[in-house]
Amino acid sequence: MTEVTHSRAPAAATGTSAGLPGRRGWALPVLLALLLLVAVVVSIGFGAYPMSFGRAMRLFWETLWPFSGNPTPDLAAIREQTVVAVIRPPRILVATFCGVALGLAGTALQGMMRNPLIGPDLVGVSGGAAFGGVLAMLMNWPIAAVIALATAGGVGAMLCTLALARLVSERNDGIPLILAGFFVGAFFLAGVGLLKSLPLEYSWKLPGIVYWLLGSFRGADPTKVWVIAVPTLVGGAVLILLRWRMNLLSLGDLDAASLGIDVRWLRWAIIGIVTIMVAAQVAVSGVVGWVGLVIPHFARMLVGPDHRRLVPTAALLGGLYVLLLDNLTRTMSGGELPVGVLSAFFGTPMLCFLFWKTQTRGWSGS
Amino acid sequence: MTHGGLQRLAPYGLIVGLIAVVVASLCIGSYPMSFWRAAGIAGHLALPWSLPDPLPWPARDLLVVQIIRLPRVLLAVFVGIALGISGTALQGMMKNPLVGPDLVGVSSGAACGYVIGVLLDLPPGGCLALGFAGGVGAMVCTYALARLAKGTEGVGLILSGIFISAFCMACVGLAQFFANDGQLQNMTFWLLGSLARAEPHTVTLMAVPVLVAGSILMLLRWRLNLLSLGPLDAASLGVRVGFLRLLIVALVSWMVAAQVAASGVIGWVGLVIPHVARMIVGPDHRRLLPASAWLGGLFVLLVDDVTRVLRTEIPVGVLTSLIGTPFLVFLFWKRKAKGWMND
Repeated sequence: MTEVTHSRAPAAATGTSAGLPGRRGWALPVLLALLLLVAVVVSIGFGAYPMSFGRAMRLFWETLWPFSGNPTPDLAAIREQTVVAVIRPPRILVATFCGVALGLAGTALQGMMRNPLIGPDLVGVSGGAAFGGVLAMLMNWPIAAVIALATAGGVGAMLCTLALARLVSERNDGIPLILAGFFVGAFFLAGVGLLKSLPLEYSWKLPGIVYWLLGSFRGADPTKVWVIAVPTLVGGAVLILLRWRMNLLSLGDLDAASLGIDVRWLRWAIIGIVTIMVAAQVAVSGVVGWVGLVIPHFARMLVGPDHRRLVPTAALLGGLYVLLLDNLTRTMSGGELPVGVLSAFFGTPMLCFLFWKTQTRGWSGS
Repeated sequence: MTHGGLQRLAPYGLIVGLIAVVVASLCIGSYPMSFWRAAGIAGHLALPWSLPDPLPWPARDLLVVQIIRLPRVLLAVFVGIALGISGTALQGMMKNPLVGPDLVGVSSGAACGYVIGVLLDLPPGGCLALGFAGGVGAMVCTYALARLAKGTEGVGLILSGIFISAFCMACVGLAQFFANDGQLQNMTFWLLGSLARAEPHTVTLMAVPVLVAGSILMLLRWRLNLLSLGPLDAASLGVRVGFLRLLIVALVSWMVAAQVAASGVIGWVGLVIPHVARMIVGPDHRRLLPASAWLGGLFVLLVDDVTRVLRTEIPVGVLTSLIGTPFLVFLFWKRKAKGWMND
């Protein structure tokens, strides 16, 4: 019942583009890829350091193409060069990769569970990953341990959610899953609150942790770029390879199995990939909510429900969206607003609109 | 004794237990005090005309109880009563066992309004008024969104509540960002959901809404029974459904706004307590409403006592979530999602 309404609703929303993927269907993802590339380059020109946009662009060009500039070794120029070449690129890359990871994770989860209301923050993965990450940080462990614990927490929370939903109802999709995820996520976030208030040895790190938890790309460095880039690129590549099977999976378990898919294996693979990507994202930038839930809907509006185009589109759109949000916080004067706050501020009204438009079709299990 | 008799007596047993726990809570702290002395002082404070001429206890004991311990204990009790009553009223009104003041957006809306009040440097009364307006506004938004999405009966309401709360909490984050240092300190301390800031005027702020709105809701408990039959049946029995709903929403929002202003967002109490009360006294609101009030007060007070005994600064809101969510998971499992979904 659910799969019928679900597959029909996006098709109705997207109109004609829901048919077979013609050439026109691929124009949009390619356009988005170009747009993302342009956005990444243009973002170099924004920031808190007082520098004109043109100057930043020229300095960046000189960094990329060392034969073009005339070296003027005065102090101000070196400082500006440092900003453009060392400080801004890691942050832009981290923001982009985080968005890509969240877009991919949301699309994969929504397709796998045939439920348009699933996102990495609503099935409890983000909460569990945050718990693991905070635990490792309060123990003053290195970044590798932070990621390992965040991954473990994310996997644990996801397993709790799935087990609870399975206990409650045989169908492993729909409303029981959302409610279970909501409870599990709330429990782990309360655990984070407990960790924050316990008197531990490294509690002096707490203000930084609190800020990190709200979702911020401040303090991005090359290590963090690697931490987020590798899982995103590897996981994204695997998900893109699996895009055919995800199409079959979204037909329903029985149909997919009769078409020769090992459903159980595929589900676990997708859950594993998604959890590792989200855990890496949480480890570098805290909980950035409402991206993994909203972006797939917009991608579906643009290119239709076919995962062959949906997966790359959602990835690109996610990167673009988070990068734009981060640029917004970087250029706002007077302190820095966490991206997680902004994404919730913009994401929830969009979600309310979507909720209204879809009239709870496929959202309420009826 | 029959089961029905037990159910009838349960609210009275609960209130006796609550009073006993209140007196016992007065003995917790670094200054030693016996149970009966605390009981004597509390009785003296409750009935001021029975003052013996030479005080039978040192003035220091009186001060410790009156100034230091009693405000916090009373605040915990009032917070619990407010949450228990509002959860029961909302669940009865919406015929939905998954509704609580934190899930339909009232708590976060009140937090949002209150924080904006702090940001504008309004006096406490103004902050409280804005918190009330925020609570009512968020609840109306939740209901309107669920109505638009044609899902007021079941999970649609919860989903729109989750969305609206998340938006309100994002607004709180924005307000924190724009606050200056003094305001920020004020906000963060309070947002954790802590009772540590209890003072006599906080207790007054909390007591008036709880006593007034709580008594009105208690008087309405008959009508709540009728309302939980469904709007059509209730209307045919002579209840003005629209007006009654609006009244309940306003009263609940007033109580929750005061609770949020006094102690920050304390989650999962208003959702869990009515279920426990229903297990003890059954679904009849005539007994359910008082039972959940006393049970809520008892629960929050005990949780706060735990933090005081352990001498930690764990916020009450964190502990109630840690206890409440597994309990809810258990309920969710036991009932196999019956009545939680509309299929």
